[in-house]
Amino acid sequence: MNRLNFFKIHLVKPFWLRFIIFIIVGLPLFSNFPALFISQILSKFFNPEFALIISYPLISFFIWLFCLPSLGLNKFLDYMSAAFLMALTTVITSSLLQNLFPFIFMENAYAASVRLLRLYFNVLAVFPWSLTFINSFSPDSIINALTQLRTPFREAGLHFALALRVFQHVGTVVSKLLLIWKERYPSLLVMRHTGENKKLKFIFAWVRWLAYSVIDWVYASIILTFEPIPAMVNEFEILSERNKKNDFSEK
Amino acid sequence: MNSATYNIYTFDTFEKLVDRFVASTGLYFPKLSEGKDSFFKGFYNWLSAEKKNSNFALIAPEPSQALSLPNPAQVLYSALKPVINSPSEDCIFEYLYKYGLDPSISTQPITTLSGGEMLLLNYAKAEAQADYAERFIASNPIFWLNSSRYHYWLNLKELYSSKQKSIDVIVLNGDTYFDNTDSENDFNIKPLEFKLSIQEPKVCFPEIRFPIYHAARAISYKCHKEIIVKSPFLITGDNGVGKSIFSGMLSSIVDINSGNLSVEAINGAASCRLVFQEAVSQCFALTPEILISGVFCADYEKKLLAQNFFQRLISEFNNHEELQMSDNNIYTLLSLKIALIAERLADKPALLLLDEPGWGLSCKDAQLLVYKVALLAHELGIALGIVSHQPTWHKFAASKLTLKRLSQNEVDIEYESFKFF
Amino acid sequence: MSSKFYQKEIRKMTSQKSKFAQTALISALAALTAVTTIMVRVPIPATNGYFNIGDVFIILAGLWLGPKAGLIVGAVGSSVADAVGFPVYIPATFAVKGLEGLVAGLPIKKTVAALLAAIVMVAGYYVFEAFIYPMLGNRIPMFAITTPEAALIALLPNAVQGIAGAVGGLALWHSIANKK
Repeated sequence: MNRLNFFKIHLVKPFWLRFIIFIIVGLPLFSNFPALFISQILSKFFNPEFALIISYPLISFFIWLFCLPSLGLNKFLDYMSAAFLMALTTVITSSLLQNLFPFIFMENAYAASVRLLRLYFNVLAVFPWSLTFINSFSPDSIINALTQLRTPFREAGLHFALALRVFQHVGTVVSKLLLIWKERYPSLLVMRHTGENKKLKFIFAWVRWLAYSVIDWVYASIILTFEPIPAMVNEFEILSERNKKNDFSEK
Repeated sequence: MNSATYNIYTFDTFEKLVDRFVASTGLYFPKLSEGKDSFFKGFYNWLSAEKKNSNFALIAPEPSQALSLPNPAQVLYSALKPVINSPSEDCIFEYLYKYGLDPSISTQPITTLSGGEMLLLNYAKAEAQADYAERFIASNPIFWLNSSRYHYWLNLKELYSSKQKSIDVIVLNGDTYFDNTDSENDFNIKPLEFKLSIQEPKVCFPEIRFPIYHAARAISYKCHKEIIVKSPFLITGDNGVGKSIFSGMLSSIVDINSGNLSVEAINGAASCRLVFQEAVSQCFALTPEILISGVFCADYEKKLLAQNFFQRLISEFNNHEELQMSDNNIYTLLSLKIALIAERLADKPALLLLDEPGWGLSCKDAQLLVYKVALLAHELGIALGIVSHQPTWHKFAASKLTLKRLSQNEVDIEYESFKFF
Repeated sequence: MSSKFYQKEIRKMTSQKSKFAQTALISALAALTAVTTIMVRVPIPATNGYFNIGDVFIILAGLWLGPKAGLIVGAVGSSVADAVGFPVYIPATFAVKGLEGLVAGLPIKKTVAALLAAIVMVAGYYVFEAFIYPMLGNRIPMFAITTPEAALIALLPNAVQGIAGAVGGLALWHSIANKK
C-alpha cells in the first residue's frame, strides 16, 4: 500500500471520523487557541509581538500540509493561486480603504497591520481547507445512501437525492458553458473581434459586451440547468411509485 | 398481453421529430433552437400540466437528454433501482461491458462522453428498464454509432420483442440505418491544401472529486509528422477514440500538456474554429441574429460579412419554407448551425472544423449544408474538416485522418489522401 | 397579472405537478445561486466579506415559487457558496439570505417585494456585521472579523448588490415565470 495514503484525509473511513478530523484541523482557523499558545512558546526566543505574528503563517503551513496529500500537488497549487489572489485583493484594498477613511477606522496603524496580516494568512489557509473539506465527501455515495433509506424516510431521501443531483448537474453545465465560451472568446474577458476601434470607443464596446455577456451567461445557465429537469423528475417519480408498490406488496 | 409492435417514423426536420417524440412520451423536451422565450413558455407549460408519468424506456432526440444524472454509474443505478434494491458496482459494470463500454467511464461526467458512448449508455439503460418500462421509444438510435456496433441495437430490439413490448423508432429522413435513401448528388469541390503539424500531443484530464467524481485520464496521440492536408478532409475513427478531443486540441479549447498540434493555411492564418456536435448548446440559447450581432458588436465589417454569409447559406435551402420567409423569426437547428458557421467563416481562420455536421439534420440537408459550406470556405481560403464516423462523408473528403486506439491511453493517427481528387 | 392571481396559479401548479418537480426547481435555483455567488466575487475588505450577484436567483425564486422556496434557495444556495472560502459568514448568510428570499415571495406587488427583499438583505447584514458578530467575537474569536464602523462602510456595496439583485431578479421573473 502506498504510504502516502495514510495522510490522505479523503480516504479516512467512516465518514464521521473524517468529518471530526476536518473540524479539529480547521479549529485554529476559527479560534485564537493555537496562535496564542504557539506565540507564548516562541516568545521565549523572540520578541512577543513578532512571535504572535509568525504564529499565523505557522498555522497556515500546518493546514497546507494537511491538505496537500489529499489534493495532490497540481490541484493544491491551483487552489493556492486562487487563495493568494483572494488574500492579496482583500488585504491591499483593505489597507487602501484604511488610509482613505482613517476617521471611520479608528484603529492604530500597528493593530491594523497585525489584523490584516492575520487575515491574509487566514484566507490562504481557509480557502484550501474548505475546498479539501468539500472534495473529501462523495456526493455519489450520499445520493446512493439516500435512495436506499427505508420508509418513512424514503420519500424525503429521494427528494434530497434529487436535490444533490441537480446541484451536480449545475456543476457540469457551468463547465460545458466555459468550454463553449473559450471557443468563442479565447481571452474569456475580452471579445474576439475588436475591429479598428479607437481606445474610448473600444472601452464603450467592451463594457457593453461585458454586460450582455453576463446576461447571456445567466440565461444560458438557467436554460441548460432546466433542460433535463423534466426527464430527471420523471425518473424520480417512477422510482417513488415503484417503491410505494413494493411497500404495498411487502405488507 | 399486448402484442409487440415495431414502428419506424421518419421526419424531414429535427423540430418535427422532437414534436413527435414529445407527443409520444408526454415528457417535455425543449427545442432550444427556438430561443429562450419559447423555452421558458414550454417549461412553464410542463410545470402547470397535469402530473403524467411516462413509464417508457427512452432514447431522447439529443442522446444526453434522457441521461439526466451526472455519470453513467448513477444513470444505471437509478434505472436498476426499481428491480434490484441496491445495485452493486459489479452489476453496473456488467451492463456497461455488455454494450461495449469500458467500466472506467462509469464515473466520467455524461457531458464528457462522446455521442457514440452516450448512445450505448442509453442502450444499457434501456436494457436495465426492460422489465418495467411499458414501451421503448427511441429517437435517432443509431446515428452516433460506428457500423461495427449496430449489433447492440439488434440485441436490444430482440430483448424488447421477447418481453412483448413495443418499440417506436423516430428518425430523420436518410438515416443511415433505418432510411438509407442517400442522395445521388455529385459533389464537386476543388481541394485546398494546408499544413498540419502533429508532434505527439498529449492531453491530461485531472481527477475531479466534486461535484462529481471523475478519475484522472490522459490521451497521447502517438504521431509525429507534418502533413500537407487536402481539404475538405475527414477526421474519423471508432466511438470514444478521441475525435472530439482531437478537434478540441486543434481549436485550442482543450489544453495540450505536452507535444504540439498546429495548422497553417497558405494565406498564413494559423487559427482553427470548431462547430460542436451540440450546436444548440453552443449558441448559448441565442437566436442567429443576436448571436452574430453579439460576437461582432465591436467589428462592424465582420458583422456584415457574417450576416452576408448567413443569408447566402440560408438561401440555398429552397425546400425549407420557414427559412425562406422574409420576416424570419422561426429558428431551427439548421439556421442555428448556419449562424455558427457564418460567424466562424467571417473570422477567416485557417481551418473550420464541423463536428458531426449531420446531427439533427436530414441526410439531404446535411449534405447540402456541408457542400455549400465547403465551397464558400474554399472561396475564402479556409480549409474544412468534418469530424464524423459516418461513412456518408467520404464522398466529400479529399483526404482523411483516421484515429486508431493503440492502448487505453494511446491513439495513432493515419493520414490518407484520395487520388481521385 | 395580479399577485393574488399569480399565487393561486403557483398553488395550482404545485398541486398538479409532483413534489419532485418543485424539489428539482428549488435545488436548481439554489445551485445557480451558489455557482454565481462563487464565480463573481468582489471582496469587501472592510468586513472581510464579498460582493456577489447571487441575489438575482434568490429574488427570482421568491417571486416565482413563493416564500418557502425563496427561503430555501437563499439560505442553502448562499451558504453553500460561503462554505467555499468564507465559512465564518455561513450563520449570517443562512439567516439573512433566507429572509431575503422569504420576503421576495410575499404575496404583495412584485416590484415592492423585490425591493423589500433587497432592503432586508442590506439591513440584515448590517445587523450581523455591526452588532451580532462583534458581540459574538468577544466570546468566540472566529467571529471577530468585523466592527460597527466597518459595517457602515459595507452598507454601500451591499446596497448596490441588493439593487442589482432586485432589478435582475425582477427582469428574470418577467422573462421566465411570466410566460403563458
